[in-house]
Amino acid sequence: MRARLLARGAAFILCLALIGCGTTAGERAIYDQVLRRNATPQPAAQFTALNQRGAEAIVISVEARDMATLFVRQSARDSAVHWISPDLIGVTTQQGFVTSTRGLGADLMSAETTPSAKLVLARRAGRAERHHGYLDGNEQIEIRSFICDISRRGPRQVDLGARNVATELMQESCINPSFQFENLYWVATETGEIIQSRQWISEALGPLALRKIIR
Amino acid sequence: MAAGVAIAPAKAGAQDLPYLSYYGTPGLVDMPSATPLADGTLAFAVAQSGPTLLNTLTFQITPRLSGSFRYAVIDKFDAPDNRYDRSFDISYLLMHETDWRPAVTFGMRDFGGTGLYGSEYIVATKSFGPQIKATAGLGWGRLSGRGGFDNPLGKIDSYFKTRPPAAAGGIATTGQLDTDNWLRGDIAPFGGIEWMPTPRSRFVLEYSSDTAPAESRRGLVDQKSPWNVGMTYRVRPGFDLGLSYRYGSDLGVFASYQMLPMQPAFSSGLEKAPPNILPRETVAARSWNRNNNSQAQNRSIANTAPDGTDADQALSLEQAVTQALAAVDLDLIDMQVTGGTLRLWLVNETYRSEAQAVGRAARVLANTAPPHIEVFEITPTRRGMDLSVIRLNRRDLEDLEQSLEANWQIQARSQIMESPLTPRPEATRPEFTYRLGPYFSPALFDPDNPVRADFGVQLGASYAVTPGLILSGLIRQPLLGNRDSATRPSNSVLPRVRSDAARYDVESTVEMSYLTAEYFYRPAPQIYGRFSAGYLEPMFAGLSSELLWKPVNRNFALGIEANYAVQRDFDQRFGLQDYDVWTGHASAYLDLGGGYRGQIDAGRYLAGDWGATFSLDRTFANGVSIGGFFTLTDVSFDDFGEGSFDKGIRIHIPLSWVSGQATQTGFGTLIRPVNRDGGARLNVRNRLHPLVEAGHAQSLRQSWGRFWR
Repeated sequence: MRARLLARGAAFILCLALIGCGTTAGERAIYDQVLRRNATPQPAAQFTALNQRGAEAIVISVEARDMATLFVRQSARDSAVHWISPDLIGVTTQQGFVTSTRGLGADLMSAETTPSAKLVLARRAGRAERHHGYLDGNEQIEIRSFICDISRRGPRQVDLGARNVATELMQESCINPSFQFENLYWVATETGEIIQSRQWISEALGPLALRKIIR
Repeated sequence: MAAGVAIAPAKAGAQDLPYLSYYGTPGLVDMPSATPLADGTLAFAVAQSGPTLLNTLTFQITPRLSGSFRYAVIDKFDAPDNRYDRSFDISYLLMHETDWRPAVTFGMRDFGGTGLYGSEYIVATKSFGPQIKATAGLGWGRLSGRGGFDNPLGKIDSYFKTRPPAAAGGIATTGQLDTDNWLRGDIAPFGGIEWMPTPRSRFVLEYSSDTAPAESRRGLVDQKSPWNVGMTYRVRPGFDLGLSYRYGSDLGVFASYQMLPMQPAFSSGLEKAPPNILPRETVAARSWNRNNNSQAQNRSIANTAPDGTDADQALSLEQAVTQALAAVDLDLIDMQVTGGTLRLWLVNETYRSEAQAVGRAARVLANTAPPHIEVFEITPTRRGMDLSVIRLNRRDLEDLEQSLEANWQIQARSQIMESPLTPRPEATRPEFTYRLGPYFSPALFDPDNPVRADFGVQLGASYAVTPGLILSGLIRQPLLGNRDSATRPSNSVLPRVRSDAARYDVESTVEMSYLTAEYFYRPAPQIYGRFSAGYLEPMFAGLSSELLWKPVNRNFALGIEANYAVQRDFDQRFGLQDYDVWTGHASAYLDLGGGYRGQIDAGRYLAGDWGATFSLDRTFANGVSIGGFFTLTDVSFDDFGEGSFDKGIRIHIPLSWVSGQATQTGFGTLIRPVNRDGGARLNVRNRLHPLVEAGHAQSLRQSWGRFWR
């Protein structure tokens, strides 16, 4: 109890010294960012409600930071499925392809992945165009386009904990004059859906790894 | 998965940031080179060598034009006193480097001021592969001290053959342009080689044409050689440390930082994800049991929406919208449904980009409005003033949310319109906000102690009786600092409206910075108004009234302001002094495009002088803003005193640029080389133009990239 009081006092002073305290949401967010960096954050109520209801879930990790987080399915419209994390970072997938992220600092604002998805899901080799939209440092949307070669890497068994799934590993190698990256998709042989993948998001963020959870 | 990944300034090209000279502009050791800084760069350099400390702030105003402000301290220059010297530089890239020709730049150092560093130069720099750069130039003035020859311009006119001594007019003419000296007198060559063996290091060999005549004459510098060698290490992109051996006699140390305004820490921000648009059928289902009349209240059945939010349990539409807006940190002021149109009045105190606030509000409406509503008209408001109407089709929002070019498409299909003057019921919930925090307040350039500062705690509070009627105040308690140690008395011959600033620090303990009542209103279409009364700023109390004409889709505005101001007591409490004045300005604002904004304010200043202030700011869409201003009034340069006329540089950096969080606060600073009484303007808070303009088309479009963020 005393330690907690002390910690609170220290937090208050630190808060004052660094950024001040106030009533606006932005100030509270910065306060959280500064003071609770290492604490386990309280999951948002929205996430908890969905999770308790047993909503579909995936584990997403930012590879560069070696950290995995559970995302639950928040909503869906047409072919887009929206996933949220306990701290309300958003990821949107279409047929298992990441088409946007929100809250990662170097987000993918939009994407056109249909041609790649067509080949990967059909487990066919070929060439496709892919387009990404980014928010640059000066609030302008920047569209980057890539040429991607899709190839078959052969059958793989994926251990999802509850069971093993037979998949075929598909590789998508993309290039444009400034960047190149490689995406990997494990496509279930039986259902034809992507159960695990590694998808490049942006230059600063690198790839995300996504994996289905069987509840 | 808390904080995201910072985009360090090390993006593509950051390694190619040029290295700076001791004068804080791109160059070798002392000599300039022709390489410009990256567009928009704000560079700060500190260099110490021999008796001289140079502090330079440089801004790359356009891709070709750059300007610098320098504050030099030369030990014992006016023995036994130090010399404190302010100077301004300007340089212009005449041609870019190509495969076969060098970059060429013309520049002027210390073109006003006392002329201690007064010099002009033309310089060429050429790269030979990624590791070698060669620079050669010709200098006038201080840069023609060694190996000079006749000025070829002298063949055109003998006027150019000799250069009058620097600052011939003496200290009295400081601050005025030394046009009498420009490009006159002998010229001399200078140059050097840069070798960059790794992307993080540079070695320089330089031949300098600067003989430091004034310092040498005083025995402060003893040059034994024209050659300088230097090395610079790039600690991280933009941050350099350097060491040099100069003129065969001195060691120099150097540090510089280059900030790239267009590369914030987190380009897309760390704020939580926006709501995603739900299928219209889902939204319809959720609105079935919405309470449209009071009797329905008892019949509500709790259900839960598919997105995890508890569905509107017998909430009215307005309550449901209010809740959903609060979840994205926005406030509803009012809402009306007419036929298929929903009008929403909104206050955004969270997002720096008003377009982002509108984008989030639009998705909130798409997820709450009854299915028959097809048009959303969103009005951003500030302090009770409706600023514009952004009309969006619900179908467009649904169709475009997942589109690659969603941003451009929704901009093309939306309309930004003038907000009508129709009265709407004033929301009557009074709102109290406060802020307790630290403050840091520097006072620069007093010759007795060039850097004074206070660090303390401040408490600000505001009570909005209605959104447009606001009572607010701020008190400050310095905890640490030496601002109250200033002893230099004002020598001004004008009414001492600003030059007594130090006495306000010395004679106060708890400082009441302001205590005001403000009223904001819209008297006519396209016109915005403000009344302020009370203790308006730390040094003046009084009344202020302003009107601004600003059409929503135009890039210009006109304003008038009239104030009656009474000087406050030095203790910064409630007392007033005898000096009072009517002051006011007519203002013209013009957005020049590309983020450049010009402003002219003409009128009467605090000391009763008449004149005009000219300002130019470069505002980046991400909120970073860097600019300068100068004021010329009917006060003569002599009467004005040191500096000849009022001028300054201002910088604003939003907190979101640094932290990635959605917030409207930021850091601002104003650097005035000399704070005197001529051309001094009343510092009323909340002048209308920035408030109003934030919700108008130009600003909305500038940061429209955040609509879907």
